[in-house]
Amino acid sequence: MERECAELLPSVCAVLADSKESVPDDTCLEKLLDWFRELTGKVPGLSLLQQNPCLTDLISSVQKLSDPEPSVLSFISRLAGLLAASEDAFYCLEQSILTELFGNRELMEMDATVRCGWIHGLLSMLQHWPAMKFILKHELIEVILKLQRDSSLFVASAANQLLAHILTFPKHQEASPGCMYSEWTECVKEIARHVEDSLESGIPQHIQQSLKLVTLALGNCQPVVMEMLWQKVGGPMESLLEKDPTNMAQRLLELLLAASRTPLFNSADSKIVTVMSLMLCSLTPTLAIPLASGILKLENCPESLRIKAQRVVLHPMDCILNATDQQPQNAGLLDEFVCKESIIEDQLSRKASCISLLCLSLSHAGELADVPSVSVELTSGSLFNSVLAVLQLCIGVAVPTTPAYICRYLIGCVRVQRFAVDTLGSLSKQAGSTDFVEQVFNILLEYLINPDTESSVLKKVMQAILQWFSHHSDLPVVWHSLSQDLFPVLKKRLCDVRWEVRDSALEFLTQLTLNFQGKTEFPPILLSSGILKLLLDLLSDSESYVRASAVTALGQTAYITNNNEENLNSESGTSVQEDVASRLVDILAEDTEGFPRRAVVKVFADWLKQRSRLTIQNFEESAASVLKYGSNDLDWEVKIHSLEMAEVYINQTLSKSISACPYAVVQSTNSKNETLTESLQKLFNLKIFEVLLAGLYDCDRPVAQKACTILISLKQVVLEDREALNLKGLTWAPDILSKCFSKHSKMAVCGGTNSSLQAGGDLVEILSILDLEAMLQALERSSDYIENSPHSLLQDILAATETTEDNAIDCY
Amino acid sequence: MLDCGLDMTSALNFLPLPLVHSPRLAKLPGWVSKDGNTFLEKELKECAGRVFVDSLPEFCLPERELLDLSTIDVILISNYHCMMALPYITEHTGFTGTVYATEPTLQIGRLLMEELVNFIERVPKAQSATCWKNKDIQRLLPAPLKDTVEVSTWKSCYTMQEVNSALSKVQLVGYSQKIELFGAVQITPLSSGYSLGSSNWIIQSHYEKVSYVSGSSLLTTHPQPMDQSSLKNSDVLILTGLTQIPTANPDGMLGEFCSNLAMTVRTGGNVLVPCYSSGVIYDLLECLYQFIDSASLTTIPFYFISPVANSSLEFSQIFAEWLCHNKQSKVYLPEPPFPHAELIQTNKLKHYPSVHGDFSNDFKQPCVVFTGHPSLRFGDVVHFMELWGKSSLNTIIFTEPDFSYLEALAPYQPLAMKCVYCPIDTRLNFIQVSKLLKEVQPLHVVCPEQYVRPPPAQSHRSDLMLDCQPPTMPYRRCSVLSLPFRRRYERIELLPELADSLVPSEIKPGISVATVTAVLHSKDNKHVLRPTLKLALAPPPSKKRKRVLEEPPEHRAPKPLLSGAVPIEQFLATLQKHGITEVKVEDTPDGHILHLQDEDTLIQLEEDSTHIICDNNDMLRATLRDLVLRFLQKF
Repeated sequence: MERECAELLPSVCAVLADSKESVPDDTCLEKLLDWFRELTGKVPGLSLLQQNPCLTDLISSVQKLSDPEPSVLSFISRLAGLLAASEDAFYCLEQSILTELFGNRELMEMDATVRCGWIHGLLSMLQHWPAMKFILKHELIEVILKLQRDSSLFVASAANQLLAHILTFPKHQEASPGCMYSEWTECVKEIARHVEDSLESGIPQHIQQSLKLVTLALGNCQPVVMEMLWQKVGGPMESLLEKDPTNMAQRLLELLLAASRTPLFNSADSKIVTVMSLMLCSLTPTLAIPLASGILKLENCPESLRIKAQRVVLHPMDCILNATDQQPQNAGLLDEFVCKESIIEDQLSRKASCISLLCLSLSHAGELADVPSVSVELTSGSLFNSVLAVLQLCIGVAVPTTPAYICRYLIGCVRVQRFAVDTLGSLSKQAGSTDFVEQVFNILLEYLINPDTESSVLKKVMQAILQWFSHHSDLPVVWHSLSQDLFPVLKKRLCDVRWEVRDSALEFLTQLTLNFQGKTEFPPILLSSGILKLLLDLLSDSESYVRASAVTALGQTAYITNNNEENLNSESGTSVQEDVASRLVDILAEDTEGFPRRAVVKVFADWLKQRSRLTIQNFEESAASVLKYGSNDLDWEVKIHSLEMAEVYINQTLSKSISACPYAVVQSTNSKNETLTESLQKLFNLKIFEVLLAGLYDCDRPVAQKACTILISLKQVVLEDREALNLKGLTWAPDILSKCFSKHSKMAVCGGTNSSLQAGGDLVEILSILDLEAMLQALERSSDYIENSPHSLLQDILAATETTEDNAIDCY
Repeated sequence: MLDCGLDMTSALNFLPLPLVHSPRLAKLPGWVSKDGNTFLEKELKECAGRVFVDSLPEFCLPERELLDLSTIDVILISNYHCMMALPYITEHTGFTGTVYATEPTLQIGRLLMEELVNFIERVPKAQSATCWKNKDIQRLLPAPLKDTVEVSTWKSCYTMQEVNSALSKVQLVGYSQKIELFGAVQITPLSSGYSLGSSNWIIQSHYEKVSYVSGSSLLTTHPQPMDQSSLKNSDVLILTGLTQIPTANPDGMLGEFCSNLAMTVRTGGNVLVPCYSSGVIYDLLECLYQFIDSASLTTIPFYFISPVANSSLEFSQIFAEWLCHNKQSKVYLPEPPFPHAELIQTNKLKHYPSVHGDFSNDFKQPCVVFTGHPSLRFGDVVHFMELWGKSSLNTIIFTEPDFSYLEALAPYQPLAMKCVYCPIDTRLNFIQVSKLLKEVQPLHVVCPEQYVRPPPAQSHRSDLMLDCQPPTMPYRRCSVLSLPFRRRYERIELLPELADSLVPSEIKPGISVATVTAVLHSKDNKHVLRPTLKLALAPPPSKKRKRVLEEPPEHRAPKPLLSGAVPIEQFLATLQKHGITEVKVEDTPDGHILHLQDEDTLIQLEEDSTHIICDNNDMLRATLRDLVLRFLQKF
């Protein structure tokens, strides 16, 4: 604990203990607890208590108050629990405080906040066997079980957590001292009996809480506890399923899924598989599908259950497939059903349930594609066909045989469209024939062409196309479709009235180029499409996001256009590549919005990284301009990207001078230094140091931080060989330095160095004078670190109590 | 007569009328029948594998055989597109009635007619083709000429003189104005939200209400929004003029229009938009006004070419009261309600009466041209088709839904220019109609039979049909429907002095009844009850008059009317008091028969009559009558 905090803590404790003082708000108390939680993690609880006796005083004095404030009482319970989490501190506090505080049954009659604090205190404390012994000795289990049925949901939920913690407490049996283990086992039995009683009570709240408790505990408890619990739960659970399958369905479902991830799942007595199987049939489809999805993800799942779960997930899709199938003799998606067909048909006959059921089925059907065992069985294409059928229905190109109302519900339904397109995208991983791929492209193109397709659906359609293209780029049909169908539509979408669509189309193009630039088929298609001309036009789009995406897309396509000189002479190519670089520089210099400017700097940084792949004319000049404009930009992100670009420059320049070919003749120290000098001279000519220094004193903290980091790494390189460097000529940036230092003359790190720097210093001198490490440390602190410090918190609490009426009026 | 539209799709069977000589069209081969007969080769030409009539285009008129159109008293016009056949009806059928329309409908309708006449008259043809219409010959022609129906009724375009004469019969009306028709019914135009001055009509008497809903729109475009609430409580709602392209959402189409336009001009191509000179073009220009800035197309010139382009653009700005609220409020700023004024001011939009004259001096490419006619058979659009059709850089964008774009393009094939079909029809679609009908709840809906089944090409689209309760009454061409209501009541006015003389007596709480004796005067379907004239007051018949005047009705005091029922038990008790004791009561389905055995008399008491049957004992009859009357109320 910092000294200044330790000084303030007694006064704060006094304020909290004084019933006459106004109580700080709950947020302050929560922050105070957070601080103590952090402290107890660092310092042993006992030493914390010894160094700050005011804490013990606070707890005991609040306890003694005749009418304590509930929030403060809750606070001290939680504080006591936190402190007693370490065994030493527990012993220290047990007699004086803990017995009185946690053994006080009167607290249970008070405000819910107090009960909540009491439980949380115990929960924090229960980190060791003595604490468990304490709970058992004072028969607190009885109280906790009562609190589990508390009318306040917060209290009941906290009690559940505590009970779950008790159930999962010992990790190893032998670790328990003396007879503690058997006592704890008795306690577990008591809890299990309580759970059984609750489940049989018929009171929904009690049942819900106990199901939650078992679900919580099953994940972490010992096998013996697991079995004990399951013995008590199994029977009532089955009768619950028979009596009231709908109300408790969600909780039962969670419990079953939790149990299925434990060894219980495969034990013959547990009947989990049977119950799950039963639930798949009896639950409403909207609940059965998530359960089925959970089952499908299980390892070691019995084949029969897995197939059943798969049937549940796919049943609605099967209905759709049948509804659109013109030839009834065709095999459907499923050969057998788990739920009654009438139930699914009933759900599909109402618009709201039809849409939500299909969305659910589609989203989980998409997951099926990732389950290896399932995907093998579904390669027959029926799942694929059913997704296609949904998509066709949604834009009115499929003909439903029966029932016709499905068509009315689905046409133009954006929700179903989104799910179906996503599912189709996830099916792309499966091996597909040319025929399949063609069908997919046809339907996705229909969506791209359809003027009524919603912009978010369009975006997903493009993502799906990208997925299918990526997985099936070996098929000739892909390239044919790209040139003949996709690019003409994409051109139209690049001119769409909705900026979101233009933006998505540009992003899609960028991704497409990124994925396929290595393929020999792609560049000619792109170059002959006429799209590049549109990209240039979009640089002056009215929407800044679109301009930014156009910049990024052009940045990516440049790798293709620049390396295809022979193609550039074609009609579409020449005009496009006239001067992309200078257009981008213009955007950086003139665009009023930040996004396009950021994109420009990022593109140049990327080009710089991969300059070997580019043959842009006058690239150096353009890059220098980007650096100049970018570092003087008003937008801090542009400045950061400019610094990143400078970093790329530095790394590239210095790596040339430092790295040596392993097979080359070893360079002499002199020649190495000469190269380094040259490199630094080059960076100097590019005015990179000016950029870095300006960044170092930038008003935006992240910019200064970035500049500082770069300078530190530069310093390491330069100072290593300072003696040998010949940087006499580089009396750089005196103006900028003087400007910066005069602005920041009060900065401690630079104090007293002004005079020497103003006269102009060399690189080594400046780098060694600047205490960059200290600067970085200062910059790493967030701007509100003082406000967030515990010291400030303690001061706030004190200040709040000192606010007199006069003060309050003044403040007002 | 509800509306008076002209079917112009017949023009698609004719060759385009080029503004300047077109060698391609001039050189088309004449049609030779399979047996080598060449007698029609001057009338019919083969072009791109199809046969067209080489003559001035003709139009298909409204049905004229079903009834004598001279008997029509009134024609109600819904919007300017639905009045294009007016001159044919008013000038050639002996029509003597009145046409009702709003002012914008009349003015813009006049512009459209004027444009049509101008398009046709400026390219006169020496001869007109008539032989092919002969039924025996038509049968031998290739499709689609072979299949066209009632070609004999097709007529060439009217003249400007006929237009003026027809429009002089139009009586202007304003929204919600009530117009009495012969005292029989009242008609009221309501805003239908489709176009400037477009109306739905309410035709109502005092007890019946028929709504005629035609060409309505619920979208927020330039006209005043649709008045839905006044359509409530209709006995019959006649529904027509729904969107022709229910699958095309106007917003999506507008987006398509803009993106195709931008794509074409960006690649150096021209865009041709065949359109009417009023209507959707205002919305297109407004949309482009916003779009060209965002798409950086400010340097691209927009040309609007029509003989009435100037009038159309200016008229739209002056009908402020017929516009939607936003546009109306602009007028008070004052600003022009439509942004095309600004486009014109900044020279982004230029308008010309024709391709001749100034236009050829100003013409710059790439550009966007709006011009008529959407059928591509006449008007300046023909010139642009000939000019731009050969380059794949250019695009033609169809926005009007009235003509099949493939049919329209048929005589221009093979065509290199791109073709985009973006029909923008803002009229009600089936979802909107269903909502509307739920809202206004008419007792009966009458509509064309096409609306109650899915489109033939998309028979699975059950969403593209009218599905409402109670079921609609569909009609087809020439079918005669009797509307499902009868006029049961008429309102009769009571003059104040007659009302004064009434003496109501209460027969039930809250219900009073009085007898009225008066003279019913009926004139112009208005009925008035006036007090009967006393003989003394009646003017003495003039001796000079030869005609015998009808005698005024004799003034007699009316007999009192009776009401109530005779309670059988009390009546028997009363009879007993009067010494009639031997009474045998027999129940009948309608009441009772009392047999007075000693007197040998029967009293039949029924719901609405009482009979006393006794032989020659008038005294007894009178006594019994008085006893019965004691139990009845008189008024």
